[in-house]
Amino acid sequence: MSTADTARPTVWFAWLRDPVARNYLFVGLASLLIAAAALVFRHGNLLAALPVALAVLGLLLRSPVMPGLFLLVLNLAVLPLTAWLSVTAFSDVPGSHLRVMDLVLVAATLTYFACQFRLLSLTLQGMPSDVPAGLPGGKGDRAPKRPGSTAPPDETGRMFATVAVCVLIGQVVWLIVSELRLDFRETPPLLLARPAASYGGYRSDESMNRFLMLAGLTAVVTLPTALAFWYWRLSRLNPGEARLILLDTQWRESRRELNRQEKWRAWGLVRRRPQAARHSRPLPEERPAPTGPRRSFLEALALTCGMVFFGGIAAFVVVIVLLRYLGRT
Amino acid sequence: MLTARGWWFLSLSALVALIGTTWAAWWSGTIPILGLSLVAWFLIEWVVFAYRFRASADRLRVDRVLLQGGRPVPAVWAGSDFTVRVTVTPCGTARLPFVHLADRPPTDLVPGHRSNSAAFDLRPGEPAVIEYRLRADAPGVIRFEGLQVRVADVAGLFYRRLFIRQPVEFLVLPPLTDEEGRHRGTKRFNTLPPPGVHRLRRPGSGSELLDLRDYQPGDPPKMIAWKPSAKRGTLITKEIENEVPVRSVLFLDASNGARVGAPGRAPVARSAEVVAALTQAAGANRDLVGLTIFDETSTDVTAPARTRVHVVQLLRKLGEAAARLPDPGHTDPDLLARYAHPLAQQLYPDLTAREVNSRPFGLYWRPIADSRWLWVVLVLLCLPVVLVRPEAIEFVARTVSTFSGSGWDWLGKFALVVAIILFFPALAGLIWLVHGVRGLLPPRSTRTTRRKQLATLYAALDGSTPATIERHLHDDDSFASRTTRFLLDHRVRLPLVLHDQAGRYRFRSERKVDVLAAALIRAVSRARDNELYVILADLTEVAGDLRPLVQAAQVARARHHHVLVIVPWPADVPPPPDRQTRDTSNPDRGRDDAPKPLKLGGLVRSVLVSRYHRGFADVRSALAKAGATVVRVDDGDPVRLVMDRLDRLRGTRTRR
Repeated sequence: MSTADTARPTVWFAWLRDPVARNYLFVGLASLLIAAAALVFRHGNLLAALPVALAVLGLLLRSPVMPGLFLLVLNLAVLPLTAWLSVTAFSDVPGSHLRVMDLVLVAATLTYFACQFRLLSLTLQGMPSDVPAGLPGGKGDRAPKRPGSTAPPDETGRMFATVAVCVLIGQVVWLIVSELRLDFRETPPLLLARPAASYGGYRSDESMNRFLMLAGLTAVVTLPTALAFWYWRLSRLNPGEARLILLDTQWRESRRELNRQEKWRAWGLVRRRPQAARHSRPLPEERPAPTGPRRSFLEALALTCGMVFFGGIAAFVVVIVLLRYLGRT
Repeated sequence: MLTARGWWFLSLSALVALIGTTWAAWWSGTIPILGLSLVAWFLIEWVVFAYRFRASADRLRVDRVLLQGGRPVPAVWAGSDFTVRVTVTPCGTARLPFVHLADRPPTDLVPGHRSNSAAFDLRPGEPAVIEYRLRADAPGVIRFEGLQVRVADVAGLFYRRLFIRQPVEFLVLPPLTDEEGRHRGTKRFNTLPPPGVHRLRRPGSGSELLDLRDYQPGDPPKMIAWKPSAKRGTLITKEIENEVPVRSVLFLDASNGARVGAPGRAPVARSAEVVAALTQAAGANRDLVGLTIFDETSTDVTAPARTRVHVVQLLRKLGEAAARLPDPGHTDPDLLARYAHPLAQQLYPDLTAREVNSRPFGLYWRPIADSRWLWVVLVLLCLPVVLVRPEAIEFVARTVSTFSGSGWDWLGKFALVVAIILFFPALAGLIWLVHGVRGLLPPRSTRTTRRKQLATLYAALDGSTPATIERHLHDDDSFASRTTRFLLDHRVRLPLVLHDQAGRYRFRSERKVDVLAAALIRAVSRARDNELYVILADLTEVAGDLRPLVQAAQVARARHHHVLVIVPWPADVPPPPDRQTRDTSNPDRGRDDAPKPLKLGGLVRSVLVSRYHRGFADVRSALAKAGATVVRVDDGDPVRLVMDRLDRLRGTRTRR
């Protein structure tokens, strides 16, 4: 049975008829324009806007690969340009982590990613095809798309708010990671970077320090959240799941003993079957026919001669060894 | 939970964040901020999705209604479209922005023009409705398993699937309106009594004269025959024939062999259609109709009646009988698991998930103790004890020195001792390892996974103990029977193997003849007057075992009942040639004797067809001797034939 919402377009750019898809397309293009402007202003070079061209292509072609490519090329482009050109943007605040152009670039990039993914969900694939292998009709299942009619009007506004929060979080986390350093001899083991730099007797590599800070922050945020959701799931188990968990736990605990009993029982059942059915030797006409091609006479002759020859050598060696042994004794 | 898109986005953003904070931060602060912002966005999306899923996804209330003729119905009629309306009401607290709901339609039904799935933005308290049309061509049972719910976020990074199980079965009744018009509209005999009655040669209150007898005190004066009284000079009283309703009892074969066939084309389904038509036509004539459904072991008897409620009850029983699926009798557990495991994964995703239905490593390891290789391993382990003896060492050392000179004598002995001590145990260990590891590799691992998950699922569904899991893992028969039941419960049709290796038909059931004969004798013993017994049974495969049925038919005929046997002819078997046309159908036979290429499929088919024809001829011959009439279901109109028989019964004077 075909789903109505997975009808493929028959004309080029038919997906643009959906106003929600059009909205995300234009928002994505606008964000890429802003990203290109930020890159050019930041680095003073038109080449910096090269990754944006890839992203524009990805948006127009709805390519699922292009966002990843864009991210990689963007990083590869930003790093050498910053390292070699070392242009200071006009908006940089001296002595501060706050760089307006970076914030704009990150916000534009995040907006692009959100728009690109939502556009893919609307026009290409909203969720993966998920039919168990072996089920009849599973091969014909097409991944459903998200219909644009279900999108609420305030969805774009919420997306912008989420992006703003994420940019803020990224900035704050970077501030924490770069401005705090770990010192496990202190309680609490966190110091501001500048006093720590003048702290004698302890020297930490900055990269390792930032890595540890990032790992710690990730653990602090992720583990309690995952734990909370895990506990929530446990508290919301349905009776079938709860029964199955108990049953499976019991089975794992008693598996060794039950295994032996049931195996012997199954063997006993097999032995109790009629002898003819258990050891039925096939009649000559029931024996399986040879699967390979029939050997020619020359092949059979060569094979026989080879077996006789090598068998004779082996027998000769055995005889010689026995004779020697008997002769010595 | 993560989609492919989510995985690579997480990988890339985490990589950018890691490289940015540890290495690239020396040159640029853009990359770490970008990476951290992307990771933050990912985490926020994850938390929001997880919250929404936990708060709402498994709190959906599903209501299902079947509509036919614009109104809700508890059962549907075969041959006409009906609408399935599924209403999903979120009872949670969070909104699900992208939910794909798919109602699992029953198998063997013809889909309509509307889709059974749709995507929604589910908000708490706001119901979503899916409507689609289906059509059942044959009577039976349709089973709706439930609703598949697929939840994703709007960016397509996260995804979950669950199945809201709500198994419900609806009867598909044989078509009603088409058969109501089959009631008798023509008067075949001038002496026919009114519909629903026939004459019985016993004194009663009918309309036809039965006999004249002498007047006895107490006889009503209006019954005095005045003319004969005047002739004889004594009072003579008229006796009037009795008028009783015509009764027919239908016998429906629902045995395992009668269930074999394509959906809606199995003999039991075709017979059920005929029985339904007969029931309604006879009911329209106000004749009494009874029904006996029999199989290899039991009978289900419904006494004759002619009310509307009785007809509907018969239709329900016919629908249930036509819905029976054949027991395939498979004993190969792997074949059954290949069908059952995907179904279990689709219908029970929560009970087949790895976190509740575990698959420990030891499950896959093949113990050497279960194999004959154990003896090889034991021998190899014991071999050093036997071989490290002076005589053996001396023998092998001399052998070594024979080929390498006397200088190698002690070195050879030392190497030999080490080799004997280490080599054979190492070989035993290698055999043990290879034997055990083979269980971890496909296809054994796949088979073990399927079997363990299904065994645990069965144990959970049956409420049984962990020993049942282990029994299903090791006992092939137990697993095969339970898996067959699981598949039949969910109305999954399995491929049938009709003949065994010796060429015998696997669905031949001789016991149904005994059951049918007993049911016929029972009906005869409870008959009040002349009745018509219509047997709809596939008897061609048991043509040689009809003796009990022939005897029962003879008993029925001896009691002046009529017996009519209708054989549900398979759709893919041509009708037997007529005797007149058998010899003249091919006048060119013998003239063109050129050999034709022999095709195995055609040959097998012709053998099976001729065997079926021969069986039918035997059945017809055996039952004709007992006075029963045997016809094919596709030979003319069986309903009209039965109605004519009833008319004959109605108009015929009985002989006692």
